[in-house]
Amino acid sequence: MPPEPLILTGVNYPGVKFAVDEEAVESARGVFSQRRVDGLERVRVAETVLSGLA
Amino acid sequence: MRAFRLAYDGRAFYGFQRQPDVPTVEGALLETLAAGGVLDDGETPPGYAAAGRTDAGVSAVAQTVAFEAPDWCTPAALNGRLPGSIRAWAAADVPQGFHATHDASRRTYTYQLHAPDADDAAAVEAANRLAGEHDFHNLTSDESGTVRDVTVGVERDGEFLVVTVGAGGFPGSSSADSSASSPRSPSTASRSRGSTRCWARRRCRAGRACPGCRQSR
Repeated sequence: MPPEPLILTGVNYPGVKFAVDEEAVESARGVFSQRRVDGLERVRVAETVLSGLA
Repeated sequence: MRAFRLAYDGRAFYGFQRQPDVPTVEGALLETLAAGGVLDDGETPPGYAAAGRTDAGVSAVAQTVAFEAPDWCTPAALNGRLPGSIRAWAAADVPQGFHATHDASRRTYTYQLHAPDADDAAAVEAANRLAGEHDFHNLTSDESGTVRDVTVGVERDGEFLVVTVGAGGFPGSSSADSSASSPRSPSTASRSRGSTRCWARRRCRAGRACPGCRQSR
């Protein structure tokens, strides 16, 4: 699956107030923080390879 | 009825909409609801609808689904069964008849475009040409209600151009803004705030007759 750098970032509903579920948000933060680290590691590996090319 | 905010990493999925032979976000959600006894396999719960059908590989932080949910069905409870790449994170009780697709007054997408050498001024100029009212009649079978108010923002962030695109919803969905519960960037919020005009007024701006709008001017 090719990664697509497109994100649905907002959907508005007039008069609807969403209550944040703190436990659920913590779970989401954990998942996406780890994915961020995974991505940063991939960048560092690629940069190291690029810098080592003659 | 209850509406849920979903965040997901779209890379693992062939888009949002359920398909028979490939993993999709909606497929995973409905499997979760089936496992929880909210529906039978292959069906959708009463009142079910989603804000939008993101394409393959597209992610979300504000995807919204709504359906008749039992009391135990909270975001945290859903997360206990959903795959890790999909996380529910907020919920709202909504009136009977609420439709997550049709009742959305605005949708915003952000594109992280890797373009270190792009001409920023040219990108902004192109974005400005796309902004404004457009009739998307040729992209739908709908006979009316096809005009949308589009905002496009372009901002440089290191090697990336961050392109933020917003569009109004179906006719009748626009009024107050629910941005307080929507995790958008401040720049996007400020751009879209003035765009929740009534549908009739948008039609008038498109050059069609509307006595109601004439009265309001």
